[in-house]
Amino acid sequence: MQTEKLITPIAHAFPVGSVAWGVINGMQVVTRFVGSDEEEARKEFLGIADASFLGKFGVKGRNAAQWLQDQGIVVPEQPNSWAGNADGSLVLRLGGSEFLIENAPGGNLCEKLLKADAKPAGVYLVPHVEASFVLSGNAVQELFAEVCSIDLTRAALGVQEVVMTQFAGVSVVLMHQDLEGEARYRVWCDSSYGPYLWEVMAGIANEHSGGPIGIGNYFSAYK
Amino acid sequence: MKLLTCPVNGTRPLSEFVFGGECRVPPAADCSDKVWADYVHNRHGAPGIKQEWWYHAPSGTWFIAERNTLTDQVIRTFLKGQEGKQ
Repeated sequence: MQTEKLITPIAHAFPVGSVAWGVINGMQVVTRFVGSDEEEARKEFLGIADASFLGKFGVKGRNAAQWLQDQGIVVPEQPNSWAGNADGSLVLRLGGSEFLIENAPGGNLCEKLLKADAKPAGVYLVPHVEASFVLSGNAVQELFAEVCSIDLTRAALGVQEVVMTQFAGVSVVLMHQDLEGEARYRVWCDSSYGPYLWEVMAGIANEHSGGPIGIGNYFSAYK
Repeated sequence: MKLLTCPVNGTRPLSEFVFGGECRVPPAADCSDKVWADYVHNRHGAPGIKQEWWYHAPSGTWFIAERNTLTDQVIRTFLKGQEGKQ
């Protein structure tokens, strides 16, 4: 259960004093880094936002896919692919029988799944507390080229593909999504590497006239 | 940049992988002490085509690579139990 004692795993990377903090989904997060006009400008070039507060739910096992379907969840057919539910939540198939589900902004699907009836044999819960990022902008491919060795252009990525690779030496899960009329990338990494990866990516974003922005710039539910 | 092909995630830089040692088949449980000691303590170090365990760290995938340790040429990679499917 989340309480207000939770703080984003990226907190140590944030500057003290000059940013506005708030509580989203029971987690203390930075809601604004600079003025709204400047954040809009950053987003145009290369915006990076912290989405670690979105609830996550993990499940694996030989019967995990069937159990999720029984709960009314859309299950991606192929490993390393993702699907979106009608409510906007994401379902990532991380392997043949392992799934990561992330709440839609303002949603509570993961909490419902946690409270669902006893899991049958062959269904095992996997705790997920990753640091999570949203990236977008004209220079996002330049950032990827600096931190990653593989081609992450949209042409190289399949439509619903999930990529597991490394950014600046840190293992990450990445996917591309068109949402609210714009192209975005989502990145998850182990929460203990969150501050490091944030500093690396935000530093590169600054070099491209972008930088950190509040999550409200991406999800209208948090404006 | 050296590349290795994970059977699940595709071709990636070698920096994403961890070497897991030679893929060796243990002798039968009722083997002699001499055979077991040979399995535990001795390795065949001569270069040639060998099967090795490799781990793709970002996805947590263990797989087997068949590699010529003399030329460092990787002949094929496959998941354990799926050798015949390659």
